[in-house]
Amino acid sequence: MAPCHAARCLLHAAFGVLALLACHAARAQDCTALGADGQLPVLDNPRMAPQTRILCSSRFAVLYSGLAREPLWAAEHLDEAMVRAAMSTPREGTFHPDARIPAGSRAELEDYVRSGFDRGHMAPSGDMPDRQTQEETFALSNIVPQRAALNREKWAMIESDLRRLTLRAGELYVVTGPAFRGSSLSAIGRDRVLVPTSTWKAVYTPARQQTGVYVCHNVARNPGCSHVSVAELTRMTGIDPFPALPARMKQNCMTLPYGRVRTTTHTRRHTTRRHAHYRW
Amino acid sequence: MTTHSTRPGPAATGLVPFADNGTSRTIGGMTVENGTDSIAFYGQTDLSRDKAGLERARALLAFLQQVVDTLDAQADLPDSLPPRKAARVPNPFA
Repeated sequence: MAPCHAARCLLHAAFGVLALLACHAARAQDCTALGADGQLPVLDNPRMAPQTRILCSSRFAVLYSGLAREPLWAAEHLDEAMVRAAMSTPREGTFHPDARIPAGSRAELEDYVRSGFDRGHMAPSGDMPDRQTQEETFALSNIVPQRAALNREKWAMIESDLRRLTLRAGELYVVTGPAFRGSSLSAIGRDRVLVPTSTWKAVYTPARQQTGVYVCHNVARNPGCSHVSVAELTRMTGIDPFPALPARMKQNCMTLPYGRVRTTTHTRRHTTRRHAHYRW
Repeated sequence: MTTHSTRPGPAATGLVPFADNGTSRTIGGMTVENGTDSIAFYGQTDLSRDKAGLERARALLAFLQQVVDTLDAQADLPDSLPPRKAARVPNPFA
């Protein structure tokens, strides 16, 4: 199954050589097994498509954006064996620019220096079962500017809780990415790496046939995290993390292990747009 | 970004404070991300009253001593290093 269909390649081709290469590369290294039911996430917002390419790593795939200089999504398939191996692997690696992307289109280490932002993993290093796969997550194509107050606390707890959920549920499909709200955005470094206003993590458990999404504000003080449906994620970000799943499975958010108490004030039975904007 | 193991000692880390912008290691159960202008240092650990606790405390002490020595040795150390100002750009996706 090709991750980049002919129609999408034609669309991409309008935006230049990088996109053509992307389709070629995506076909060459097929990593669609990392997506739920064999399908990687898709974009629902045509403004996001220019200068994107799928980059496959051993245990995760990202859609890299040359406009954002960061991934728009990172997809993983976690299972019990992978998580057990990850938990006994010491956390170490070296952040590095992604050599698969030409200089001038990618983020560099210097962009993050004194930026005031952490280098936030989308596919977490802590999910990877050995040193080599862990090292792959330190490529800046898997990194977004994330506030320390989020990255080091709530986000780290969400990552850790999903590993424990994997042990209980047997396997999980997890898709992680940045959200960009508003007419203008902050950007760091010479390469203008876009600062997301939120980061989100979508979860699908095949065993329970349920989905859910965490969304956390990328702010310096007391970042709030909420639980939302996949349908709301797609409406707010233009990304469908699980295109193979039926719409009915995306309407409700499953019970997720972290953040329930803190998010009750943001969660309404009858969601209005105003409330949705508050969460994002 | 979560710490799983407390394995490496100071000699095993291969992290020289402020020498690069890439190296990330777990030292004494804490996450260390090296930087030429700032080192991210975070996580949680237990300094338990046993041999494992002693090993973690030694690893942390050795690392922090290296940080102190490096900063101490810098003649023109500023009072504080201000962050660079982020640019403001139109949202390409809106």
